[in-house]
Amino acid sequence: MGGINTDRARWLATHILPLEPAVRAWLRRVRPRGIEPDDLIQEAYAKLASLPSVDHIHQPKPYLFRIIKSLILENVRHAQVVTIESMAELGELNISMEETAPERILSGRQQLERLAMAIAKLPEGCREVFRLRKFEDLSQKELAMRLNISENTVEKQLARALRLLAQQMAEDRASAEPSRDAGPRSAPDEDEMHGPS
Amino acid sequence: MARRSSAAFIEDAATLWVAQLDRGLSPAEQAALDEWIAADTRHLGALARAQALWQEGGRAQIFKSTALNTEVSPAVTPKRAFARWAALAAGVAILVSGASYIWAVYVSTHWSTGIGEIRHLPLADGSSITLNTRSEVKVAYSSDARIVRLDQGEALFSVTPDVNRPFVVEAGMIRVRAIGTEFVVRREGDTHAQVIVTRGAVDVWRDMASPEPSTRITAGRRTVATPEAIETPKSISEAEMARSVAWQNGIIDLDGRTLAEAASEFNRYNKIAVVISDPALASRKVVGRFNTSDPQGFATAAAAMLDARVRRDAERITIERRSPQ
Repeated sequence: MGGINTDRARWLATHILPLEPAVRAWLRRVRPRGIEPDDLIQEAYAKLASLPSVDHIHQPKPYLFRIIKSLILENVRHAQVVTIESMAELGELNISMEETAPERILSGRQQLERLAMAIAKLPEGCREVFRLRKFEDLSQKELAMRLNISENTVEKQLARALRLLAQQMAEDRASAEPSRDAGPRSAPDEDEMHGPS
Repeated sequence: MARRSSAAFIEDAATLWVAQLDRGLSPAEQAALDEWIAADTRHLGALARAQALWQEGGRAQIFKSTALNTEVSPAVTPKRAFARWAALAAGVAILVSGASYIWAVYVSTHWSTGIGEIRHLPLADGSSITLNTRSEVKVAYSSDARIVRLDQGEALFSVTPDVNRPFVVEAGMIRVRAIGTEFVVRREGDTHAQVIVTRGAVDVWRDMASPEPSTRITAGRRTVATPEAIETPKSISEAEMARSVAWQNGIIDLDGRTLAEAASEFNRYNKIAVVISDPALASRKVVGRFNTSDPQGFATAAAAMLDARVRRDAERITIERRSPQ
């Protein structure tokens, strides 16, 4: 195996993925200068992936926000040009996380629903390959035989599906103009987040 | 110039790794993955996120009955888009003079970006297109040619060489052929196109009734092509080159551009317009790096530099002179 272990991936899927819309909304508001939200999010996942254990994280939300804030501060300290604005933003960083609109945090069910919609929107071929692999549980080899395409094509299509899903799930970044407090008003119960894993 | 790869680029690589992990890695691939992870902290993060999604994807099937079966069809179905493109391509094939593109189009796709949006589009052959704000491309790959039509806006092309399939960008009447290359094409109005080459070289020509020789542009040069002529390529500095692709990272890098030019640059990316009410102010020069999505930050900083003030209402941000006395 390479990459991260399955348990950690599952933990991230259950506890961190649903927080992404809230984090992105917060980042749009604070707009840290000189570092892109997507970079910050990747860095944050990297930190979470390299922790020896996540057992001690009882409250993923404040934990994630602390990571993001420390990354922003680290970045500001290393910036070649510290602008007046970035100093002002540092003040903004004190905004308590409680101010992040709670409706931005998805329940486990909402997240799955969102993901299902994203899968439904995949281009046909790509969706079929993803469906057979993940829902029907065919191996890549079996899948290639079933569809009479090369294993390489299967692999490429799966990667493409995943890439499109990764984009879709971060879509807030493009779709929402500074819609600071808009967003779906279906205030989820936060406890739902800890669904079955 | 050491440029950090974009988050989108990393995401592409990460998702490919996840697909490869899923089928199992050879020892050599495992070594390559370890090396990749070690190269940049964001790599591990992107990989972890992609793996999380991969896990979660399997669980989404509980919604199979609802979302996945009711056709949430995209605006244009691939087949229809294909038919439209094929018809168009047939027309183009006749028009493209001098070049023998035989159109056996099997892939055709259409992408666009909204205001302020930037998209990175990896293509099947390893090439990629990064679309800037409010831009539109159609990509048609055949066994003989890779044709990208830039209908609107600006795009950065990073091209994997393939001697058997030339990579040609069409921008109105202007044609740009890549020669193992990275370059930016920006449409200006309906007829003009600016071409900046950051790596390798390109050939630029106009699609005229009678074929004409192309103009070669090498890395570090820029030209503006119009239906009348192709300007002699001018050399630009490394810094200027970096600035011209800064938008990829959501940055507007102003270096001594006038306030009016800076404002119109911001207005490409945002619905709220930056307006300069005073001509004397408009011609003053400004310096700085800003997020494309932050016109307010830009206006505030510019006003501070020029001792002006900012007024904001629903539609615009006005930079104006301080009232006399």
